[in-house]
Amino acid sequence: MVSIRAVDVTKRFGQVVALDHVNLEIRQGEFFTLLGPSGCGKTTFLRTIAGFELVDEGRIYFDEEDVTYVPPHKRDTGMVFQNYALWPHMTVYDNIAYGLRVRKLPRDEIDRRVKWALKLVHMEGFERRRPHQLSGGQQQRVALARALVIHPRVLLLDEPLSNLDAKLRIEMRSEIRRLQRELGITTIYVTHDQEEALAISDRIAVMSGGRVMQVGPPEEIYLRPANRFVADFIGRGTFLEGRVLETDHELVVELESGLGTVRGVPSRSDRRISVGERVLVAIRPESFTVAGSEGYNAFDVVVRNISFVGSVKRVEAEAGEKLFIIDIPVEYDVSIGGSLRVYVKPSRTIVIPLE
Amino acid sequence: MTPRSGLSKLWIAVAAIIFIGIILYAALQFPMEGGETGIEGEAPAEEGGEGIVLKVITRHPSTIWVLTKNKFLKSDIAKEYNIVDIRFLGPNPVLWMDTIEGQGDIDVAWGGGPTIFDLLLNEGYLAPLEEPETLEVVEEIRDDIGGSPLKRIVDGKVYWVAAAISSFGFIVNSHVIQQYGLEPPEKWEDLGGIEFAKLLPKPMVAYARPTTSTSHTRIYQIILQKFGWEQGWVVITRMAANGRPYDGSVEALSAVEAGEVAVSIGIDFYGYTAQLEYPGLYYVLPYNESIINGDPIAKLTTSKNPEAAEAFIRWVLSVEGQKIWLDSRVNRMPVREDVFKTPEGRERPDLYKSYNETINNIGIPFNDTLALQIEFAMRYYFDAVLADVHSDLVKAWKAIVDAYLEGRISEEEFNYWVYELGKPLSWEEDGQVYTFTLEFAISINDLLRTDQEAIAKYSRIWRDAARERYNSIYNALQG
Amino acid sequence: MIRLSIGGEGLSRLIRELRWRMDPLNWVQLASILILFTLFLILPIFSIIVNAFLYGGAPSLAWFEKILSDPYYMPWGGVDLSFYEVIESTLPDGSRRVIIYIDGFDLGVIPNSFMVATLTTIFSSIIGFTLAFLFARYRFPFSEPLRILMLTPLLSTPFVGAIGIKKMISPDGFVNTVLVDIIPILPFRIEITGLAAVIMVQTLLFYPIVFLNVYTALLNIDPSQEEQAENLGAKGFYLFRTVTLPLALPGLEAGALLVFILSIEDLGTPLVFRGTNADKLMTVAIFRRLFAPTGDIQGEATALSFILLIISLGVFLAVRRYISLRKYAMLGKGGIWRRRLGSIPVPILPAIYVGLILFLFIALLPHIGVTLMAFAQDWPVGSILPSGYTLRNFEALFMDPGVSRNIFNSLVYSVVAMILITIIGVSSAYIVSRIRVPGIDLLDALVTMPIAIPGIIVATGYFLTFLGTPLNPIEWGAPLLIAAYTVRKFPFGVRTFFAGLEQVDKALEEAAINVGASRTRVFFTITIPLILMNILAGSMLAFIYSMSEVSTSIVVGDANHNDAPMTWKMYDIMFKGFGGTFQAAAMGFILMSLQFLMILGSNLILRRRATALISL
Repeated sequence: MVSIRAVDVTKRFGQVVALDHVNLEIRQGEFFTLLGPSGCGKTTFLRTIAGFELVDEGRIYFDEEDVTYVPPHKRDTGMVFQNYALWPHMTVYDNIAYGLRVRKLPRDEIDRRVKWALKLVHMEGFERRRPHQLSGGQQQRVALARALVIHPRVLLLDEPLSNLDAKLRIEMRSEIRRLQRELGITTIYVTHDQEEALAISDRIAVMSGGRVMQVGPPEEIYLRPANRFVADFIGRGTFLEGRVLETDHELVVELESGLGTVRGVPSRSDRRISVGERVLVAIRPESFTVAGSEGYNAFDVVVRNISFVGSVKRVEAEAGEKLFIIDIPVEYDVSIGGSLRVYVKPSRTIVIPLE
Repeated sequence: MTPRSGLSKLWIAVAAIIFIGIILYAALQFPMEGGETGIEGEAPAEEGGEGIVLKVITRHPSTIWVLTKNKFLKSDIAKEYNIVDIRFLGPNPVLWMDTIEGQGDIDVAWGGGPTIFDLLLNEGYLAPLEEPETLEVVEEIRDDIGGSPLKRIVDGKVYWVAAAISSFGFIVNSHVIQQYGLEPPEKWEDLGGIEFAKLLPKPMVAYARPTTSTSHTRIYQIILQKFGWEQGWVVITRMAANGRPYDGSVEALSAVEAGEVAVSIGIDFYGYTAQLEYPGLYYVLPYNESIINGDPIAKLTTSKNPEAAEAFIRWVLSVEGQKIWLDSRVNRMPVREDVFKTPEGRERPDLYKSYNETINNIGIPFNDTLALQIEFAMRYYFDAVLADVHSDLVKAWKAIVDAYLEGRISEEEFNYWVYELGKPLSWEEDGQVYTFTLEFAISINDLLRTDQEAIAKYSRIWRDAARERYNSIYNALQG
Repeated sequence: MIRLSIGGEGLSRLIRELRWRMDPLNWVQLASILILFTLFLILPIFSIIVNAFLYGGAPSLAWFEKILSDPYYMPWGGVDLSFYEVIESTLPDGSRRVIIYIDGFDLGVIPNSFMVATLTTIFSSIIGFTLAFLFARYRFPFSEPLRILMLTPLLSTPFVGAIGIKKMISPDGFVNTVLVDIIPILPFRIEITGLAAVIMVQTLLFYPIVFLNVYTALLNIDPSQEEQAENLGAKGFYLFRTVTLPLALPGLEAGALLVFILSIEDLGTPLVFRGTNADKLMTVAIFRRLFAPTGDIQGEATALSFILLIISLGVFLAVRRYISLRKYAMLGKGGIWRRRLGSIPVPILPAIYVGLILFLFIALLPHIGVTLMAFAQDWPVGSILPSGYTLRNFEALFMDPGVSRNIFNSLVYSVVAMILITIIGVSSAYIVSRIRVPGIDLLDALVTMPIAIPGIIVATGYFLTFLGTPLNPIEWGAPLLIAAYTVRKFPFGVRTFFAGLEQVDKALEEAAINVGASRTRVFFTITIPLILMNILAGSMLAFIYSMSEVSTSIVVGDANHNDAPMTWKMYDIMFKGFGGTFQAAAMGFILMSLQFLMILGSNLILRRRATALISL
């Protein structure tokens, strides 16, 4: 299993810059997710790792080896495609065995490995079937088996679950995660589904417009978004612009829209926030409470909508012409149009520089 | 070992079959003898040595090739000169000079009419006949018939000799004549008659553009000399208007065979063969209105075997060689009358009859020199004025005929309009007025032989002037 | 689209991308394509076309000026728009005979070519689309064999077809006699000739191209798209107009544009009606005026052919620009969905059959004519059918020892050309489809160019270029003929292969590369098996069209009888031998039969797989 280093990787398609000086490090055995909206460059990046796209600038290393100009069929990566790309003119067995035959492994070794791979994905007995006889989920598992059977250095997955129904997706993603842990294989996973990313990744890189917006473990991404984009993209939240008043002992921000001042914590440790700077204050729905105490930030809001989400009531409310998204206990009574007072700890009030 | 299995094996099998097939085919190529022309392979055609393969460029059809090869190669003269094979080449005449240059070793040119041979002579490809035996045989043949040359002699040297003769007339399809209730034509003027014109715009006469047929060009030359320059053009114009231009003499012939038209002008051997093959078709030799054409054979300057070449020529001109023309698939007039005295000759009394008719039916003393002097001018003029703007011509002619038949104009006026239609064109150029007189034609002939720009320029001028004339005639006769 | 990078940066990037994407196999493929086309297309025609730019020995555009200002070529000075004339004559027995003589219009050579091509395209499209819709969307008995029959006009009938047509449609021919004498429906005879006839014959000749393209396009429409619209309330004609038609449009446009180019370049059909205003078409003018009687090549004709080439290329590039081929791409290969098939109400069924049979009859007039002539004892002018039937023509034909050799030659050349077209054509389609570097579409234009160049130019170019070389046609006709067929019929193969490749998701190839297969290996183990149907179809087409090639066959055949193919022999019999029309027809019948066997074979192999046989 290797570590991957992308240094200053840039890729252009005509006038469009798909990857703009991307620097990423993926550790050995890590489950690393590329997350972002469509067109952000995540798939392009994956393809440069696989070798299907040639970088215009920059370099790619597998451990210490510079693989930038190594052709794709020699990179020893295993990729699972979005629509599985199983070869319709071959059986499941042949699909999986193809890569092994290319490597000229002996017949019995091939047989052993194919059986191993099928067992891994719980598809024993399907050897003689053809792709068109399989369901979507089954095809996906065969595709996975095919990628793993060659014992690749890196596993690449390009939105493998997007064609499956919701329940299957959740099932499959745990499967994939489990497998990955078991094999300890360095994995890059591409998705636009942030919930999925948060659920299974070791680390996430959020991308937009060919650039990496933030890299970090799920909690960090979620609780401490580094900029507006990430904050907006991951999860739902309340976003309020303001200006910094104090930075000495605590961070005090005067909110626009007449919402008063709040105390909060900076999202990024690597950047000093200065007085007078314009910032974005972000608060997650579950950070609000209906009962507060000394030192808590407080807001008076008017309820506009209520949804029942199973575990909590999600309230959409308004104050100062700003949208507030608040999760409150199910038993708590609110009505549309009514007013509500909510509190949030300063430690859960994130201050993001607007740059 | 590989996933190729069935599919890849299929590929390999297919590739193997193809490969074997190509090898087989190539192998079949080389020793292939038989058929009409043998492929030479590597045999060099050195003098003495291995035996000579004569190369002959010709316009004669393949039937003649087969007959000639069979007869000649068995003859004593072939054995004497160690000639073991003849390769015939039959490219389109427009490619002859490129072929002769490109091949570089063609010995003899045979058949195609005097025009192309004179062209070859001008370009320096013909070599004079030198062997005394050849010249002896040449002496046995007349120099000309009724003014048409059977030999081309320049500065006392003989460059080509006619190996066969032909005359000109037209082929009639009697079915069509009957169907439309027409009078069978007998003379050139009949082709331009009012009878045919009644059916316009449906054409009744087939003729080839002069630029596509040397034989039809000859016919136009005959008409021009028979009727005189101006009247000649009137006759031709009437005929052209009654008919439709084709791209070659054979195509005109096909048209009358198929019944598309009632008549096609043409050279005699087409007519005789058509007569034999198609009941209902017959050939007409217009009385006193035809000439003789010699169909030459000559030695080329590129010949690597000049003595063998002349031997072949001698044979063609000999009685034995002339018997080829008597074959029922060939039907050509020999240049020597004595071939009809042989046993084979006596089996073709019909051909002998035609031969006599031909010889005795010399309509006009033909001025070959004059014909050469106006050849190119005449052809391009015809093309532009009669073929290119054919639909306008037909409209005008029809207007004249209709006006006459409806009684709107008298016979005198008819003749007047007809003259206006067909007489040589006049046009304006740079402020000056020119007319396509005989003198004018002679003066620009050389220019039109070679200068493409001149050809394009005059074609355009004549087309425009002709169209103007036809339209004004048409308009004048309305209402 | 064709994107050309200018500047050094762009060029070095292009080279880098090329080297990245191309396997050794691809380089070999690219090299063979370029060698083939340079040696056997560009070089030969260059020497001819260069004449267009010389006037009086100096480079000049004078020829173009002359042509464009000449009322013969352009409509300066009036046009003729009278479409028909009525001719009456009195027969010897006193009865009257009336003929309606239809010959169309005359606008000058260049506009004529345009108008004929445009009208042919419109009519072919209407017919082709209607038939395609009928066969794609409705199920009825015998639809399968009828569909194959609809393709038979693709069978060519050079030379004798002309006579065949005339025997059938001339005023004394079959059709007129039946309609006027036997079942008196019409009081007069109709003679269609000139440009009107050219349009009619070309329409019947080319509609299968539109038919095939639209048929496939209709089959490829995802039914859910129509079902969705229906669900929203659209139905009947509205549904057709707003959903079905736009989705089928790529097929229609591709077919129509191919017809346009083929029509404007067609020489054979106008020559059938020579002597009328059909002469006033660009291809005829080029054919006539290419050579002066002295053998010099005329600048005027080459300038005209250059104009023709530019027009055709322009149309081709316009198609590539405005029709995105992505519209053809489907998710998976092979039409996994169920076809929406309606059935025809029983009362209407007979009408449909009658209509189809009648239409087929008209479309097959030349072929019927040829067949009748091939077996005819004699067919005098004036009788609607031959007077007797016999096999004598075939006997006479085979008495000539050269004939079986000609047939053998045709088969061998066409098979070899087919193989070359397949190997090099699949390579070319693969490179253009998969190696998407800027400018790659130019390669595609190069290999499709042959259909836009008049055959006489290619043939003459070959003859003159290779005369003194080891490939001298006089010594050895086979290589040049094979090369000519390969290059000239290349587009028919490559376009089919390309359509197939476009339908294959490239992820399938990338998945194989990913597990370690080189591009070469992927090509043979993944790509080829997936487009096998297209390869078969394209190869068959290449074979059929090679068998019927005329221009080069004649030029080389004249120079080398031994190596000549069937088409030359037909020409020779008809125009050099005498009275051989029936024998030529017999030869034509054999030619048609061989081609038909191939169509049958290919359809049997393809069966219900509705793969586009021709597409742009």
